Amino acid sequence: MTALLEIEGLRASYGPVRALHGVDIAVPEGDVVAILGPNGAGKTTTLRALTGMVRISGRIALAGRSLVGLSTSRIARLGVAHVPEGRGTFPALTVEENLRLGAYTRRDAAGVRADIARWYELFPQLAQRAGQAAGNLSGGEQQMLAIARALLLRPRLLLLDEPSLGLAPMVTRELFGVLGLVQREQGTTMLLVEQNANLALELADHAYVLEAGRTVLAGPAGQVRSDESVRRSYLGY
Amino acid sequence: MERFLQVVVDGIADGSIYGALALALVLIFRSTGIVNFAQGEMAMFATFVAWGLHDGGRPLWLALVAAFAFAFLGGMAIERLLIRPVEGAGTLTLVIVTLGLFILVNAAAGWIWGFTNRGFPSIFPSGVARLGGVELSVESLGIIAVLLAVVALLGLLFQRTKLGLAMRAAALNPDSSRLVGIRVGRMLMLGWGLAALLGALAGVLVAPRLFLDVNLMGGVLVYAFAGAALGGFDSPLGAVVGSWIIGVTENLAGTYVGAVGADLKVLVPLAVIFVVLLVRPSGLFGSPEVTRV
Repeated sequence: MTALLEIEGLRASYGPVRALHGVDIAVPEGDVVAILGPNGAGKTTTLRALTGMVRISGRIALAGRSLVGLSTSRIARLGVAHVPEGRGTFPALTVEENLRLGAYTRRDAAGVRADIARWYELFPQLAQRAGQAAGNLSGGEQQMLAIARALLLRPRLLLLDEPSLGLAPMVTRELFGVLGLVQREQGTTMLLVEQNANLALELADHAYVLEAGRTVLAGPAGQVRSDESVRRSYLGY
Repeated sequence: MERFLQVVVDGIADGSIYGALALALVLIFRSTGIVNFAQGEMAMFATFVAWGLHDGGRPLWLALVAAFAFAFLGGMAIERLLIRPVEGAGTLTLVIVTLGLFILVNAAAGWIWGFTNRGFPSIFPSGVARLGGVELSVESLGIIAVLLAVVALLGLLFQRTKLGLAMRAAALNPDSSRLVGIRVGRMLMLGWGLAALLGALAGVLVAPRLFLDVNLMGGVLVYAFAGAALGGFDSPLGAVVGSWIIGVTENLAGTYVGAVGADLKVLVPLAVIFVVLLVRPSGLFGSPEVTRV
């Protein structure tokens, strides 16, 4: 069976600096895949490569269709939603406007309204602040908004870059709870980059470990979790 | 008292013309982060297009519609062909490109239509209307009405439509906009087209009050700058209110301050720009930070 997303031999560079030397990742439809690795391993670059934000060589295919060389907006319209580091929201616009922008590519106005109502139900904080500028939200609320914004695209593939960054442990728990719920309810395929390896491996079906721009380990989440070196380096016990 | 009201209404009318051009400047500043020095010349060119069509025997309304369409498409073409290649090249580069465009458009208009003065017909009937016992010029009232309608339409576009929301998003956060599937380049093109259209409107409104020649918009551009600086370069509402204030003070000073008169009233906007930059650089309605985030 071929996976929804296939990355093979992905190389990328920022100017003269090589960031990726050959990353291979497969994300099966409906699964959650986690990417682990130290700082500078190329995790964020891999996600940026997927949405056309860095120059690359290699193969990236979404349901068999190559994404290489497509513009970021085109990739979004093919159903890839990316929550980047720094969240990618619109701080000067209201919460409601942010959510409506998330659904920019959709034509079903009624469905969008229903989805926004659903998100307000899941994150009541967002409903209370619907008319406020997104920049006034707390860090946790902004991350919720970013995820809701991305899911309003009704993506085939959701890319999450460090969703727990800078958040209190309780807020992070809540966030991952919602991600799990979305995954169970809608079967959204997710590719997750996360420093908190424990949380990531709880949610994920499969995991990949990147080091210095290469895939060095891959397997089912349970197997990666029990790997000696992963445990020592990323799980801290 | 009647004289005073007439001067104020004429001032608001003048300010409305500056306001249309100031709105164009603000639209481009918000999306591209630069002041388009060629905005006035683009407007002058479109006004000449209308004049040429009308002079060639077309009815005025048709000439105006054609000129507006020309301005809209021309503005989009300029963004695509001249601005896009230097996008992200730094403010100075972009400013130089718009200055080059200023000279290019000005020279092209002179080459095509010559450097003599032309009369330009007003879309409004001449004469006066009596409002509450005060005689006011129909043209002035008409100009004010047109600007109010334009402001209302722009408000509807940006606040009530998906396209307007996408245009605002593309101006504020281009990277985030791409991630939700907005074609940012297309939105910028649209913004330039819209700005050129607003400029053309200012051109055909001001041309009957002056004479149409290649330097038609030089003065208007200075007043529009002053209006936008006073109101805040990133605030459309501010641009309009600022331009009204400029128009009214200019006319009041020209009428009542003997030392200023008609010859020196251009000093009023310059003084305003100077004082605003000194006291409140972000303008009355602008946000303190006008850097692109």
